[in-house]
Amino acid sequence: MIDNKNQTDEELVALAQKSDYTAFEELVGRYEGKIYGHVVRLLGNREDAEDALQETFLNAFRSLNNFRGESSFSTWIYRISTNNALMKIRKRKKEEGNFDEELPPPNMLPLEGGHGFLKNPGDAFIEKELLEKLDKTIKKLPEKYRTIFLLRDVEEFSTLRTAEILGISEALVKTRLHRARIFLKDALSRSIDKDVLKAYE
Amino acid sequence: MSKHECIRVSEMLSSYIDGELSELECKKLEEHVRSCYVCAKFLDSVKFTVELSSKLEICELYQLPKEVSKKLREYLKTQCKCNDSCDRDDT
Repeated sequence: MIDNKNQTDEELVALAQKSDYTAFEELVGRYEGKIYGHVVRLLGNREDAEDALQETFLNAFRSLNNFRGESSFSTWIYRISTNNALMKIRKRKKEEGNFDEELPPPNMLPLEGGHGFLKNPGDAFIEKELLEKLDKTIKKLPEKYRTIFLLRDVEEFSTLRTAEILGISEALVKTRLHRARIFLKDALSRSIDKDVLKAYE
Repeated sequence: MSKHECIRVSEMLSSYIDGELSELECKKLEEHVRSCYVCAKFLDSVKFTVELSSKLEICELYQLPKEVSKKLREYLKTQCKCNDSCDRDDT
């Protein structure tokens, strides 16, 4: 019996395409954690994420024969999960009548707005607080910026892979990523400014 | 330091951090940053934001709970196994 654990994703896909369910289960095991984290971050709640996780792998199973290896399995499964999560977000927005899709214009000059600068606090507690602030602020990013930011800076996919997952140009990935980073940096700077002011009160 | 130059540099910071600039563009940006304190700090701030973001991947909040994984396996077994091949999209 072949040990699935030593096989590549592509070898497992080939076996799963021949109805080897244990090969498919191994793929599920390799990606369920990553995909869950990705859809929770995109959707912002665990219930919807659980549904998106189940639908992603069911859609993948049903479309296995369409997978021709033009992209990696990882890109393919992220594309399915991202599309699934985005459909849920759009449905939710339609129901709520919320169509706010743009970021405020960025400060073109580094010091505009009077925000302080950020640097590694060198303190695990402060870093944890900043991570929580960052996490909250990411949820405020409009969907088209949030998706790119999460794929690029949290999942650490390359610009090319992100463009492939989302089916958009690399130039668009770069522009939106930069806007998202500046928005988040400004929010973190403001929160630090507030803490500094509080400390002097 | 001209405002125009600072704006140009601020627009290129992400590409610089990601190693997507040409050698010449990198050199120009680094020259500017060396002589402009504000842009140097701005670059550090964006870099810090990017570094902090990468730590969210392993954040406890987003770890797959065991019961969700178990439910996923059971769901897939009932949805996939019994319908294997007949339910597949072969187009």
